[in-house]
Amino acid sequence: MNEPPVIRTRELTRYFGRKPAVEGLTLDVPRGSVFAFLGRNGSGKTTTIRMLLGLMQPTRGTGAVLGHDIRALPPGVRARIGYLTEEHQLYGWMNVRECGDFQSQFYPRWNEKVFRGVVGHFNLGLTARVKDLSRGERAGLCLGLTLAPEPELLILDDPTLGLDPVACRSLVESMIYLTRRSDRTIFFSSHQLADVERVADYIAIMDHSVLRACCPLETFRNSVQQVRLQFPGAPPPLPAIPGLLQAFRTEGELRLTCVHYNGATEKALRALSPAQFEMVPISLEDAFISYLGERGEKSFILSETEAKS
Amino acid sequence: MSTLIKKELRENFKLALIGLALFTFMLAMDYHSSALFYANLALGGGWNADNAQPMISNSTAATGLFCSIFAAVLGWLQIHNERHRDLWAFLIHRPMSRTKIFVAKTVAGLSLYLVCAGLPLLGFIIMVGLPGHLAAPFDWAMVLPATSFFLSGIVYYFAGMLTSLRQARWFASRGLGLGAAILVSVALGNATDFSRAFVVVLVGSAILATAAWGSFLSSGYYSGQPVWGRRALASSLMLGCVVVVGLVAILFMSMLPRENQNRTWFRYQITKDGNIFKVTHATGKPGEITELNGTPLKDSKTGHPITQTDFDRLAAPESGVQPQFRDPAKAQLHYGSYQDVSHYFTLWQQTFDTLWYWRPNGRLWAYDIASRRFLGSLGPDGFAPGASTGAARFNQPVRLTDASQPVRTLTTDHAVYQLDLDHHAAKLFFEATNSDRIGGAVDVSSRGYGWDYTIVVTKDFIHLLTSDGKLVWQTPYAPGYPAYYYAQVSFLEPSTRFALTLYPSNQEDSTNHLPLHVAWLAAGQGVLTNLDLPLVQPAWTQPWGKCLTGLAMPPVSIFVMKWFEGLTLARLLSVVKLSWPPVIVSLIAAVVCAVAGWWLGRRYHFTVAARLKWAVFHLLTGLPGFLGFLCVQEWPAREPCPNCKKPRLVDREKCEYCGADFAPPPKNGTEIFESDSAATARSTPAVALRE
Repeated sequence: MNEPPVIRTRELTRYFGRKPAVEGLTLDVPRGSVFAFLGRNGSGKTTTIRMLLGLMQPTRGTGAVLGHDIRALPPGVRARIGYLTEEHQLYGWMNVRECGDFQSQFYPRWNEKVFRGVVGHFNLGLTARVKDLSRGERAGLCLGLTLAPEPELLILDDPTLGLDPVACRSLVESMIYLTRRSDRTIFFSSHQLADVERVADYIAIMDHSVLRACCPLETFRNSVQQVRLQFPGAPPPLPAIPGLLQAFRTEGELRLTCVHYNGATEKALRALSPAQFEMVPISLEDAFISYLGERGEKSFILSETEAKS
Repeated sequence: MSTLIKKELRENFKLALIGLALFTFMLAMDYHSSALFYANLALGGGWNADNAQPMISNSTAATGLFCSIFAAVLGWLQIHNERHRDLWAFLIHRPMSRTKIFVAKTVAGLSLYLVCAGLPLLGFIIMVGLPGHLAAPFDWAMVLPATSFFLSGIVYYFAGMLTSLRQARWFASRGLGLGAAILVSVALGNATDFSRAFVVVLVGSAILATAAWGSFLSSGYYSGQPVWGRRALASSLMLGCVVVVGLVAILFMSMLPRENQNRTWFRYQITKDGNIFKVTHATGKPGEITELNGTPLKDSKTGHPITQTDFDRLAAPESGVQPQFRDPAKAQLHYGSYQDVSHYFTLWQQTFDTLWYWRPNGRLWAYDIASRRFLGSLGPDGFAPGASTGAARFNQPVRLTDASQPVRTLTTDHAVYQLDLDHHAAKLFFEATNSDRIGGAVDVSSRGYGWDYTIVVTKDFIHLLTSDGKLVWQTPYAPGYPAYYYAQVSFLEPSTRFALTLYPSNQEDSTNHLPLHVAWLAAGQGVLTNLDLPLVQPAWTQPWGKCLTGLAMPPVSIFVMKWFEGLTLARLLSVVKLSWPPVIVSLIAAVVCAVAGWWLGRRYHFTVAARLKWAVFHLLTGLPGFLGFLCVQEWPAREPCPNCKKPRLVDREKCEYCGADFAPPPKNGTEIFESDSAATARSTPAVALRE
């Protein structure tokens, strides 16, 4: 951990007009990690990535990628960064081979075997035109073009967006198989939490332009807990409970999702005198949805629903 | 870079092909219209020098239209095709500087432009230049007008690029780059010679290319551009604003009531019976005719003041000569600007099988209509077969010929020659004395057709000759040239009576105090009587509405325009009058804009140096510059500082008022950070990155 981080930002901020898209982002991405950058749509993930690559100027704050200021990344550093965009846009008039030939001219470390390997994995014919490829095939071609220069840092902006599950799995497998080396870092944003759970070492979560979580995946999983309380009759009203993310009320049951669950939380819950108190295992997807979903209490009580109707 | 160039060439190949075909077709149509012109000549078709030699005006119009549109579309598409966010990232994010990518794009784009516009133009030049194709003169200088508009395509190319690059809305400032290119076209259209046109294209291309380059480096934003990019962008948007403000001002002026544009001036008119009257004109009103003592002239039948139409029937026919006594070596033989056909030749006359052209070398050139080949040239020394030049030459004619009233005579310094084009000859018609010099002659038809008289003005005398060369009268040219620059003869009734009017020169007498001199003459008797009449026109102030054009006029442009009109830098300051109302409006607007710019600079915490630079810019460029300033600057949001509560700019690291840092985003208690892991806690203070 003494190695300098591959990506470092300090108070990185970007405004669009009067609206902040990213606000005060301070983040370190360690070398060799697979770092998942999560958040709902419009939370500032793509803006952050575009700032990191120097495609957009920050309003204030600083950032460095591979030790270089993001406001002026030199061409040599760009050669060490692979970037895969979310919509996999390429020149429609080129065919697969021309795409490879075109891209290879710019990268001295171009690995044709890797390119052919990825393209073959996606069953792409070398003479197929880009405009005739499906979205999944185009994603595979983009991945090949991104991986063949053998980048030290791979930045992927929601690479599986719009892909079917098979293409999505194929893309993630290729990405992990070919880049999982100790000196390579992957920084990716995604909404596919199952994949994140499978491959990520670290996660960072953006919520309404602000970074709310940045930790190892296990830490996040341990920090978000779910408790089920059962009552003989209707559950009592909830008092203020520290770290409460969501409460789901049904007849005779309260299901609570909390962050930073500790003794104080448990004491407050036991004060409700439940008939049964149970910690429930929670998936990353559920934890993530609870973490970024609407705060507060929801109820689904059949008798109340019938009474209203 | 070659890879990118090849990619760009391939990507825009189809557009280039379409452009090539279109421009070839346009020029072919021009050539075809010339072929039709020669075919129609045999059938008695009308004269049109533009069609006789399409290289000048016809091809220039086609070139101007095609090159501007094609180049702008090409430049725009080269960026627009990759303007999608992800494709732009694919292009930009590669181990190559953005400048190199931009250079590769422009090399490819301009190469395509040069081929698509240049090849058809070159082919056209060869076609019209090769003997036997057109029965009209061809000089390489005739290529220059089309060349200037061909080169202006480069300006449009970069304007198209800039428009595509800019992160602005179409209804706001995005298209202002194209406005700058349009302004360059307007300037080209008014350029008097190629060197000025070339300078305009050079400056326009440099500004727009630098602006496009700067915008390319910053993906279309103003911030993040190199300093020269920012300057060029501000300048190009300022030029675009000149067009917009100018159009708005013209639109506004067109809506003004006509009373606001009232202007009064007068002239003198001699009637057929030899009386002289004063005709007073006012804008939009019929002339008011009075006697010299101010009494309105009344219609003898109705007793009402006579109308202009009725008075015109009484007016004597008149014809005049503006003589030129300049040094023959320096005498101007060209007409108009380099973009006018008449600058190179004038279609003089058509005889049975020959077309005659007046050429600036002082000779008439003959072309055979059937073979469309050059036959020879006619000078005072006679016809020289096959030769375009000769030892003797005519002086520039006072009046150019037309089909209804062909010019019968041409002059040299000491003689007037009568042309006999059917026999390819010129015979002596009038000869001045050895000490005298001919300034000009004009053939007159007192009935509106035919040839009755020729007025010959020499340094010492004014002569009236009949068409067979007999002297009707001769009178001293007094008051003489240059104080009196124009001699006009009125043909009275009976036909032996005449009036000679000598007009004072405004150039020689800027105070306009010299009187108009009128002399009445009779054939064989000379001058009967003389009269001097005051010629001081009523003072005229420009209506306030017209002064609004000053808003569109950057103060610096006043000098640029005068330079453009051909004045040397030394004369500029003496000619430009700071008392002109539009100039005053322009200067006032510049000062107001400089103050407003200074205030905005303070509000947004510009450095003093930046505020000073903008103030100078606003003083030089006035309202258009200020609008350009508003367009280029990205005005950051302001929010209250939590420390001092004053509105601080969000793009500064510290508060401009109290120096406080920005507070971290408020916590909601659900944050998960692990300070000993990869992530650093949110409370970590910002530090400079030095790795």
